[in-house]
Amino acid sequence: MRITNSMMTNNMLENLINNRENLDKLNQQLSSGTKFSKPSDNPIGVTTSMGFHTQMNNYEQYQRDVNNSKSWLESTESSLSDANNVLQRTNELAIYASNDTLNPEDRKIMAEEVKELRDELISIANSKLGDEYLFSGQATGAKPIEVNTNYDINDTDPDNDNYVVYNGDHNKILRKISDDNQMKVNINAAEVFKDNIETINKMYEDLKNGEGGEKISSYISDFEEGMTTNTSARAEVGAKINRLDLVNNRIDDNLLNVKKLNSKNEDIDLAKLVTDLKMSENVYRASLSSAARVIQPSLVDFVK
Amino acid sequence: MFDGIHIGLSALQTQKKSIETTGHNIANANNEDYSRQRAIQTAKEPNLLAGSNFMQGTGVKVADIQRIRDEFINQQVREESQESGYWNQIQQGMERIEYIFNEPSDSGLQSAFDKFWNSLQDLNTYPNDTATRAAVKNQGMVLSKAFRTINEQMMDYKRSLNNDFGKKVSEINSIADRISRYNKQITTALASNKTPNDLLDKREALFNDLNELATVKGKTDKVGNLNITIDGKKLVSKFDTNKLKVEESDDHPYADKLILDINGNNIEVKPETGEIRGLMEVRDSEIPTYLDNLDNIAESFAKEFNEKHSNGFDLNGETGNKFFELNSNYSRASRAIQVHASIKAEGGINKIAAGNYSENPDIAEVNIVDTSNINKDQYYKVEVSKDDDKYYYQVFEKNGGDSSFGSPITTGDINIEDAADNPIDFSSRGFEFTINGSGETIINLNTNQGNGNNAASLSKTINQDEVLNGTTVTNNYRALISTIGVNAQRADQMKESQGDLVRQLENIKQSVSGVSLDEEMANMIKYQQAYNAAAKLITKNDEMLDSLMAMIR
Repeated sequence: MRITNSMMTNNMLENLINNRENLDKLNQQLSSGTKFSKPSDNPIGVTTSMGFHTQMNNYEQYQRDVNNSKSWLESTESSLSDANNVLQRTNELAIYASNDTLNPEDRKIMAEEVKELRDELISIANSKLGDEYLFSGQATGAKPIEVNTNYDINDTDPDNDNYVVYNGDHNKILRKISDDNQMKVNINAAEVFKDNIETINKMYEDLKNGEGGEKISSYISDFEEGMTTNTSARAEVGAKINRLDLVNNRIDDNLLNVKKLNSKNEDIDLAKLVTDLKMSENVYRASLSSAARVIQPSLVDFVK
Repeated sequence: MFDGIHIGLSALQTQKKSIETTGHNIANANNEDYSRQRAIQTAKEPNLLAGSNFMQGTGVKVADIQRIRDEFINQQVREESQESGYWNQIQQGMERIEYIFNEPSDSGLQSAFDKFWNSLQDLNTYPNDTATRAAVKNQGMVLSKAFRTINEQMMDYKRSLNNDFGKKVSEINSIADRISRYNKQITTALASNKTPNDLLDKREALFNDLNELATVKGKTDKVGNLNITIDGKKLVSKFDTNKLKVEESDDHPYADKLILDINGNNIEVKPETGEIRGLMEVRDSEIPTYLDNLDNIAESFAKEFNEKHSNGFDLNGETGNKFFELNSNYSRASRAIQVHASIKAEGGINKIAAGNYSENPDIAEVNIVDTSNINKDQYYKVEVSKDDDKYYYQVFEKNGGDSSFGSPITTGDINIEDAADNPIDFSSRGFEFTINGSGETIINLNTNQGNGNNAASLSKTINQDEVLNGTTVTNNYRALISTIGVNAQRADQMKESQGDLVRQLENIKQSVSGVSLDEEMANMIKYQQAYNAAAKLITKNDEMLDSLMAMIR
């Protein structure tokens, strides 16, 4: 082939541009840390990476969601545990008061303590997490247990002879803990507190009125039943907390897996890239020095 | 006796002409459009030597100054540069479209979908939290804005392409005009037997430029006119041109048509390839295709989301309205999508329907028909099973939390395909419900603030519900990005390989027609030596004449 001067310059220029482009591409990868920056760099890689990022985002969200549910359940658990202490104490007092040797004065003093315990149980039933009542079903803004304003122990109307009323609903609070699973996280006060409060109140009224040991002893079985209910509720909550721990572990594992896959998919191999970059730099240098030669003397320089 | 001097003179003149041609070549060494020229030397007509049969030479002359070129290669360069122009435009367009979609990034549509999903998950956890509700509204606005931004940028780009289209059309007209003027000069020169080499080069350069722009065919007639057709219709004919112009399309915005005005008749032309074709393809095919796709995603997502949203109830206990709306001023859903005015209004965040009467609306969704018949303490359990084409359902009830569900109050079945349009009537209790799937759900008609059931269902519209083409909206979107990526990659590769091909052909063309300085230098020395020798010849002849004259003296 006949080679002309402008051909050599053009070819040299073309190669120089190609080498620069190559160098730029590698530099871009090195500075961004990823193999691709736009879909055309690797269409499959990019869409896979988009999917991974969504998955990572979702797992991180579920971690937060699960932790939120867990703290809800943990608060529930600690309230139930406090309630159990109250029930135990009232049970002890009931056993003690079943004894007819106590005089009416002692019973009145005891009545004061029982009254405090009743109020304590009411305040436990009205526990909050943040601004939400734990034990009022989905009516999280309504105080679950309130003292009945029409309360009259001697009234035969069932609406009026109860000391407290339940203001919440019987709905389940369901939390999404994975794409396909929901978990009920709440227990309402009507299930676990209301009856106990009524019993304690009755015991208080009886003690106040100086009722005998026989009447008081009838509450013992109620308290025992109350404690059983409480225990099984705690067991249920505990089991749920355990399940959430497992869910959390699984999410952690999945997240780690996706992160690994994602890194494999989009992260550069630093050692390889640096080597490639060094190579490209050398090639670029070489092409520059060859360019300097192409703009070389021609016969022009030798014709005097 | 004087013949020698004449021969010497012809040699001097010829070598000088040749050196001048060499000089012309050297001067144009870097002129891309230039074809090197060569002075063709030929012996002058010989004389019959008086009294003999011999012919005696009379010297040399320049017979012709030729352009050295290979018409076949030149034609190939032109054809391939049409294709190269086409792919250049496509590549440019696809690159721009990729930038507009801006994926993968933290600010693209995918990321907006992800963040909206996050806010809905939070709403499931904190259905009555003001900050969480505000986040749902804001992320909804960010998402719809992300759709609109892509749409607006695509339309802006389409408009700018349409402007470029007009500019390219006037470029073609201007080139055609100049070619017709060169036709006149060249034919005039040829008619008087001159070789208008440099004019031919200039005309060819213009013709090459024209080839990059559009598919044109050129033919040189006997007298030297270059006649050009575009899409089979006359563009340049001898000294005349037909003008191209643009005409607005009635069907689409910014999609001007290419019209050739032949003596007042407007004929639409569609070049097969070339820059102008590439531009039209991006403008009329690529951009609208991707936008259509995006519209489908926006529209079906908004529709599904609104349906679910209007199935729930808001913080005020009222049945949900729409969450998104399509602004009727715009025909494209990706431009029209926005958060509904009622949500954006003061206090609108309370209208986000986080709650649902049904624990799992994907099994049974409730529609309130008569509020006066509603008993908010009543709970209904709906059990749905299905076989091939039927749902079998049972409904139980209980009051409050004390009692348990007894025996079913209603049992029945319904064809799966009819289920969506035929709600099960419970109007005596104030509601009806539609069966969406099998399983078990509890329905309760109180509307308390801690109900986040609908939020859980709403978040599924993004990553789980098969909303469009049998898959999720985000899968559809990723498929769109993948299509754009594949097309852009192909355009990159085609541009690259077509560019290489043209460069190779250009090299071959240069190898034939380009100026080599070495060669020209060698020629210069050759001609110079010949010139020196011819001068010597004249000197010697002069000396011979002197000798002759001396004899006479």
